[in-house]
Amino acid sequence: MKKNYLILLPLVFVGIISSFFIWNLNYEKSDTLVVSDIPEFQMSDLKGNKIDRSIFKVDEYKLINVWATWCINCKLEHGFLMSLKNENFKIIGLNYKDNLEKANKWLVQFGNPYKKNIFDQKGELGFELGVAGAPETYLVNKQNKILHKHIGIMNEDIWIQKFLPLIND
Amino acid sequence: MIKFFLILFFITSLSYAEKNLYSFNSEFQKELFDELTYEIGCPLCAGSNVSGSSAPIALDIKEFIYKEIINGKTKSEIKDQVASKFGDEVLFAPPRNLSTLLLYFFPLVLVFFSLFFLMKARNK
Amino acid sequence: MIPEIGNIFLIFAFSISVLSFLSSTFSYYSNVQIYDLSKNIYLIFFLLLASFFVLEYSFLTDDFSVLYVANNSNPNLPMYYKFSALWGGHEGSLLLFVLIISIWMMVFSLLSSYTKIEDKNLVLSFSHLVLFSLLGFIIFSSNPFERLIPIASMSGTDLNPLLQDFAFTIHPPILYFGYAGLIIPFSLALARCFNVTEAWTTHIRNWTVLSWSFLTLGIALGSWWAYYELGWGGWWFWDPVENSSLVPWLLATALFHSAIVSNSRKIFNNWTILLSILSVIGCFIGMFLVRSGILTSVHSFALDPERGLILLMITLAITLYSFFVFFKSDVSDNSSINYSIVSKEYFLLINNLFLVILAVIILFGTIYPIFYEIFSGGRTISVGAPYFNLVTVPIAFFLAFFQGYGVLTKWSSSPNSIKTFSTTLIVIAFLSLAFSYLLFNYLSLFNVIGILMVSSIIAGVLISAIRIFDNKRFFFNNLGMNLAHIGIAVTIFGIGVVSSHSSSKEVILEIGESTTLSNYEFTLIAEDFKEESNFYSQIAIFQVENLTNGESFDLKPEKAFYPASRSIMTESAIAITPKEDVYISLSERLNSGEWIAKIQTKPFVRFIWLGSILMCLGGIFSFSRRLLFK
Repeated sequence: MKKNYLILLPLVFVGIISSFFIWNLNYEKSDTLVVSDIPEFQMSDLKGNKIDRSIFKVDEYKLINVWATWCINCKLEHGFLMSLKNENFKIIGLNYKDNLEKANKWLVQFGNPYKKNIFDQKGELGFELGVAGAPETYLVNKQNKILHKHIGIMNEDIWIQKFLPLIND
Repeated sequence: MIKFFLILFFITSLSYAEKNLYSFNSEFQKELFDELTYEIGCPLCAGSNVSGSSAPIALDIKEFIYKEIINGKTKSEIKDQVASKFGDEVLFAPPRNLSTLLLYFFPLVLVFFSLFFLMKARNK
Repeated sequence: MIPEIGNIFLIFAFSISVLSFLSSTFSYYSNVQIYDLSKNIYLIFFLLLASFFVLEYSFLTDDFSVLYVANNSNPNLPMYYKFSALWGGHEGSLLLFVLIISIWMMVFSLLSSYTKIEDKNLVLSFSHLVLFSLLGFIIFSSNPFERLIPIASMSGTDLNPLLQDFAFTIHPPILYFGYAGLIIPFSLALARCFNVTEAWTTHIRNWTVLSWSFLTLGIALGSWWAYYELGWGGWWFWDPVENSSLVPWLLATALFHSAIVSNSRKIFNNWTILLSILSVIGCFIGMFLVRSGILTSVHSFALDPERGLILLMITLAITLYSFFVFFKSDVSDNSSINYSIVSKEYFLLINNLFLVILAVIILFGTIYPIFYEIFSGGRTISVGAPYFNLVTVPIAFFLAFFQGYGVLTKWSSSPNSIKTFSTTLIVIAFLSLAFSYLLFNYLSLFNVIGILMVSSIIAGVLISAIRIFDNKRFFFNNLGMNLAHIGIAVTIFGIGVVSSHSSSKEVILEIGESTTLSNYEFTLIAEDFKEESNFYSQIAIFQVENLTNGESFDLKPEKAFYPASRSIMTESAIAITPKEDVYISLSERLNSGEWIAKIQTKPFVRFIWLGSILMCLGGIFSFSRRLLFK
């Protein structure tokens, strides 16, 4: 009996999806890449001083780092943030859903890598920025647009692979 | 008699000091809320929608959806807002546009193909 | 030293399996007589069992020098969970999977007799092909016995708290029994391509039904687990892991229905072979999706892409090999068989087409995000419940509708088709009215669809049961089938009602406050605290009063903290009443001492799993009857 070539249809189907799988497996997965502006806000810093969007100065690159004392992984990336600070890179901290007293104590105890800290007790600014949890680190360009969002712990590798190319562009 | 009802009212209002986390002005708003919390996923817990998650961010998103509904925003406006903050992958119902044409038409094509096949098989 | 012994057992099993495959193939092509190779499988089984126990021993003795144990266990874990932690991760669950494959091969070898020993060798050789591919994958790329050298970890990172649960401990083994069982029909189908014709359709039918029963039960257990353990009352999330178990289930369902036709009428033969191959490929694609980490999902094993690639290569190799064999083969149908549009053949054809379409659509929706990511240059998309419900429900509706009338048709053509059809319609109408009356409180468009589906299935079963008594045929003949069909009706009934008539609300309560939902009043009466060996939890105690009959009971949902993995779990509390489940889960405790809680009622949710149990029992009954009364 002559075979109906339609039988090969499933084989073609499997073939096509497998090639996509292979493609995807070798594909460098990017984090959520959204270019968005820093919204207007009226918040206070950890000392109780009023701050707003003007702390994001035009004409320099800076990071927003979302942190909290309840966040264990924030401790793990703290050392790296300190080394960035020593290279004079400006980091703005977003203290997310935290306790004012504990947060200040943390900065005294472990050192303060942040140029400015926004105290976001209810996570309102965080929500505007799309913060899902801590730690998260965002790259903000000279025009105050968020270029890149990194979710999870920051380290040397991620800095070199994901952040530096964007800054050097 | 009125006094009795007042007392009754007072007692009930006391024991029902319950606070609904989300209370709505109309049935339409409640349904909209149910639909949105069903169709929007929690960014931290893949697979689960915000109505089915206990992560703090899921609660925040629900709170946001609630406020925007009260403010009179439409379904697509709210979805766009959430997606612009947390990325398109939080929308569990794929948008119906050119990029998902295949997704929605593929099932139809399959069904028509099989109906065609069934008609042919009939002639045996 | 002991873990290395386990590794050696694995290598032995691998070698024997490769040799069995090679010698069967060699003897087929060279016509050299060889011994009964089916005995090899006993040896492989004992080797794999031994290696399984070696790994268990490492778990039970807290040997954290073994990397896999260190990643999945913890000294404070209760003994029972240390045992089941073996299949909590990728490597161990794969070891369990190959052990189960060897069990199936052994049982098949014991229960089936072939006149020619070469035939049996050949059938088993194709199972060996799958077995040694996976064994190779375990040994070379996912070895559970790998050591953490030079520094052994002092304590493990703990088993994922979600998995520290009874349903989870039995869900994977049962599901694996389902997947692994499909390898038997796969082997039988490939052997048929090499002209092993002895009772091949009977075998395919029986073994598929049996593994299908396990698959049904496994999926139902997974759904039940998600329902009470994930904490939010959902019983099906359409997530990639669930979908990858549903696809083989649908294909297996199509397969044994097609095998019934092949068995009785000697037609659809190529289709049966194709489906046997596709079910196993479906399992492998599912395994790849879950284990490669290509789609992130709640219960997927996070893994590196390299392993995913190897798994994909194995899948592709098996696919190409089996299609090559299939395409070269010469299997023909009995050409003298004719069937009309109102015949069992035609209805089973409809059943098969729709089941396969359903499987393809679900697979397509599951992997669509991967296509999208590539074509949109890295943008992501989710395809979730709203999409799957939209596309699957209409097809499921037609399936159920044809199922009812389909069981009443006869081979070739049904002489009294119009009479039967009108009788069926009358019974469906009657049943629908009766259900609507019973469910008056729950009526909605969605439920009317559900009721029609349920009524048509039950109408079919009822009418065929009456006919069986008319014809004085042995009632047992179709008991398994009828049980399974009623099971489907019961599940659809549960899905219909719970999807449209669950009620829920989220409240903030402090101690002493009450709220009402449906016809229950919930009062938060107290708080409590409890400490166990590996976690501690806050408990809120609710008194729930049924306002219709005044009965009341307590529910104690918990918020548990697991220090070893630093994770928080929502332990819901569920009260089961005959009509519905009352479900409370805690979301968080505010600083003011108030609790945010979600309370829900889930009418007839138990029917979903009750129906699955009926399906499973029907399948097992059908298998054992055919085995015992051949």
